[in-house]
Parts: sequence; C-alpha cells; structure tokens
Amino acid sequence: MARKQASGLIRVHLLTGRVQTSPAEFPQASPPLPPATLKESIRWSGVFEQWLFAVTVDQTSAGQSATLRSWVVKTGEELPARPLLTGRRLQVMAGLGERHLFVREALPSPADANRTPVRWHIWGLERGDVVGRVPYEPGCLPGAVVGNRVLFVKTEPFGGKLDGPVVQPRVLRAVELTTGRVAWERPIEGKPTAPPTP
Amino acid sequence: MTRLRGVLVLPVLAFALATTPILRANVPLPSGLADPAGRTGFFTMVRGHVEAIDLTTGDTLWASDKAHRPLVVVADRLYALGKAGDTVHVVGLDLLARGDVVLKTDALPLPGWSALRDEPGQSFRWQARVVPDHLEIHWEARAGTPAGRRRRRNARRWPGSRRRA
Repeated sequence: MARKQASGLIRVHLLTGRVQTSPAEFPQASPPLPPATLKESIRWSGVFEQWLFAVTVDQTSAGQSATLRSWVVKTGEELPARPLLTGRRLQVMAGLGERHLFVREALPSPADANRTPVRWHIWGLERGDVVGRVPYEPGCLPGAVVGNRVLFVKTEPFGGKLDGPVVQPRVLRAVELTTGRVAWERPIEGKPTAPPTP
Repeated sequence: MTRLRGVLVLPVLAFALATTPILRANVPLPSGLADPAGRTGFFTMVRGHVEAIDLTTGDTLWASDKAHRPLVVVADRLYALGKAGDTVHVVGLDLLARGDVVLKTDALPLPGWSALRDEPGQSFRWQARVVPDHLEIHWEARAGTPAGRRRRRNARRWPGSRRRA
C-alpha cells in the first residue's frame, strides 16, 4: 500500500446541514515552550487556559522528584513551583484534554521486599491540587476526569486468528476518585493493530 | 406534534449557537466525549455504534446505529460522524428524544481510501469545534504500510535480522 495523506476543513451549517469544504488551516504560531534551561528534565508540558505548565523530574537522594512549574503565557512570569511526587522512576502522563496530570511510581520489582501498592496521583491543572489517588493497574491508561470519577482504558488480551485483522479489545473503567473503587466497566471499540511477527 | 417541537427547538438552538463562540466545554473521553454537564458520555462501542452512557452508573441511556464517532454536543444535540456504505455524513441526534436523527448532511467529500475506523497503518483524525451556526471539522487521513507487514517485509529482506534466540 503506497503512503497517502490528505487533510482539509469541512464546515457544516448546523441548522440546514449544508456542507462546505476548504483547504486545511494550520495554526499560525507554535505553542509556547518552557525555558530551554529545563529541557533535560521536562517530562511533559502544555498550555491550559492562560498558563504554560511543565513537569520536571529531577534526581534526588531519595530517588526522583517531580515538580509542576508554571508561567503566565502573556508575560512569561514564572509562578511558584509545586512538588508533585517523590519516588522511584516516576511516570508522568496527561489526561485527555490535558486538564489533569497523572503521576505515579514505576511498579516495584517482584523481588523487592518493601513493595507498596502503586497509585496514580491525579493533579488538576485548574486549581493546581490533587483531586484523587487511585490504585494503578497494569494495562490501564488514564483517560479523563469527569466529576468525581476518573475514566481509564484497559486493554485486554486478544484472541482469535493471527492471520486476519487483529483488534485489541478495550474496556472503559470508571474509578471513584475518593475511594479508588471501580464504579463500572464497559467494553468499548477495540484498537485495530498489526498481528505480531511470526 | 413533532413538527411543532422542531419549530420550537430551532430558535433555541440558533440562540445557543449564536451565543457560543467556541465550545470547549465538551470533555474529551476515550473513544468519545462527555456533555458539558459531565453527566452523560457518548462513546463508540464494540460494534462501531454510539451509545449514550450515564457516567454515574455506567448504564446505557440509548444507542444509535446511525452515528459512529461523536464530535460535539451543542445544546440538546449530539453531532457525530456516521457511515453509510463508503460514504461519511454528519448526523445530528436529539438528546431529548433518545438519539433520534434530526439532521443528516450530504456525504462529506473525503478520499475514498480514508475510513472512520482506524486500520493498521491507516488513521483518520479530526478536531471538531463550533463557531456560530457552523460545525468546523479539521481532518487528516493517512494510509501506509501497516507496521506488522513492514516488519515481515524487512524480515524477508534481511533474513535472520529479526530471528529470536
């Protein structure tokens, strides 16, 4: 299959349903970036409302330390930094819409005697504080926070033939932010993927 | 009665559209989105149809085979991409009438090789937003060699390079 690429802009009148097309419009300016001096330690950066946020992870004597830094986009003024989490091999992910940050430690080795349950520490960028701490489960990717629930996508093992289209089954899981309890689960569309190499 | 309700709803919808410069209140969710109140989520399910799910209980409120990809919620309507055969439309679903189709556009002028459902090596991505009276869909379609086929082709080209111990 030859490589193909196309893009465009479609405008639909919401009352009449009339469709107009035009060439794709690309953003004129690239989003602002954090200062280059932090480049080495930045794990995530993004713009939310009028602030630019960046999460930096630095090595400390206790392991790693994740810090949330922020700037006012218009003026470039740096606001006070907030420590997010300290631990070993920190993982940082942004939720869909980039309104929340999910930070956790990596899973400990099975041989580690002092294994403690790993939790996602969920930070809301709107207020800059923790909105919940929920258990981490391998295979679950953070989705979004809605109300007092956080939605995860859990990928399930696929079955069936390997010589046909392979679809990775996925389950939507809602977890209560306050208790970490699974509220409900629903299967959603799977993710088509290439079959593994023989 | 249905016609009367439509006559009453249209001015309300027009007012909502005219006073909403850009709707960013729809919360993006995995394979879907939530309404601005965060009570109902609209998801593409296993069969490729759209279901409205109560985000508190996880129960299905209604389902529609006419819609495949939720785009945006405006007032009491969900706008979604729908697929009929090889053509793609925008459909408007009435949230007060359990997802009845109240709007269906002509086929969108998309390339024949693009598909709503991502296949290996193929993607269709979009961003939808509402400007007064209009829904704007920025789309990008790509197709290429699926990763698995590429790996197998490379393995044939350089035998032994991918051999496992």
